[in-house]
Amino acid sequence: MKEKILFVTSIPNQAKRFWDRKEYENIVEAISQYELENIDLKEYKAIIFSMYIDQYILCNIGNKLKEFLENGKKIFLNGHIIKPFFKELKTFIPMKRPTLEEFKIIKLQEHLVYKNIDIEKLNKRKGVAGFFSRGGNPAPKGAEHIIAVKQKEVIVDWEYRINNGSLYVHSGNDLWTCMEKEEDNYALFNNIINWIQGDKDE
Amino acid sequence: MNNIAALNSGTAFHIVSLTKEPFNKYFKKVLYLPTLSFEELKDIDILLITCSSMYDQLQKKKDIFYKFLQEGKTLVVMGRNETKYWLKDIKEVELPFNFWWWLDEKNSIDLEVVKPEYPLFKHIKLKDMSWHYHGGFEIPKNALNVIEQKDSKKSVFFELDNYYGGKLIVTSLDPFYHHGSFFMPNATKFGFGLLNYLKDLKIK
Repeated sequence: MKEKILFVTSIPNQAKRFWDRKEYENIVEAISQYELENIDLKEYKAIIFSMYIDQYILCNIGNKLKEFLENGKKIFLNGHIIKPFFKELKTFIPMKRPTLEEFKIIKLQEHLVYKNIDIEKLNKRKGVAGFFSRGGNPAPKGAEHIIAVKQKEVIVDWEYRINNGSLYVHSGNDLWTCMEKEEDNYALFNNIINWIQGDKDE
Repeated sequence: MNNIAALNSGTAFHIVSLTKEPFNKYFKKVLYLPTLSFEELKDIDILLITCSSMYDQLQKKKDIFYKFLQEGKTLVVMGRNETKYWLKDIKEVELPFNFWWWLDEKNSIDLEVVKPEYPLFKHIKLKDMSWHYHGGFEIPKNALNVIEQKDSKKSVFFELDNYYGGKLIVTSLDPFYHHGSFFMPNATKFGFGLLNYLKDLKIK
């Protein structure tokens, strides 16, 4: 069993600057989204999907992904769910004409994904709000709410546990692209890897 | 009215922009890029390669686009499509750009309409097409340069007749990405303007 983390690229070489780092050599394996239907997911411990994921492919393997989670594995998903790929998931709801104040990110509880990350840095990129999220994928019943916007009304990040497995959803742009500085984006990507690896501080 | 088809890469923003209101009604067909075949384009006059399509798939399907053009039809290429990998004789260039120009009162967007008589402008004004752009293009010989960046004189919107037998319209603007991502109201206005222009575009 490889037990690696699968990074699914939608655009060739997407986020290579992160998953291709030496420290991840034996941990992360990148494949194209078009290979996804033909590989044995059992060989992997987790999957990372970007906001560019082809949602028809997700629907085609929805049952396999559910089974993957039920078997104690983890999935980290970025983006807007427009085609829910198993029954607990619902379609993304955008905020209607959000104000600057409504974009403000609120941490609802500590989570390894945001460990040592200054949330303020996620609020704006080059002075523009809204990169982080413009709405939410509705959290399934029983999911832990991690991050919200619109005065806590819209849940943007949530974690949903199924058996020992876990689905983490960030309803916005790829989390590792939301900050100005590359080292901050790397720190966030590294936190995602640590969450998957099951850091003791979790 | 022209039959327009749009290519769908299956991303959230493609599905929202192409298969849902208000733009779905403009398309005779929305075709899934990875399985695109030439036969699907038989009744199509204009093929729209929407913003941020998966360029590895565009590369795989490029022969279909040239066969389509050879029939005298029109290919429209939107922004962020990495044309260097699949579009012949067209040179995309990177341009420095202040993505946040509207936040600086001293700035205005550095784009300029070169051909105000171009019929697209019956449907939309430059100010409603402006948020940012993704690079520009060297102006091909015999091209009709419609919008350009002021300083570099590189094109961000051009039309080229007799391109491999058909018409080619290229822009580095990406309205369908932004509309489908629920970001930038101008992107929606531009989407309407462009599609209203294309539906009545005279094709030889």
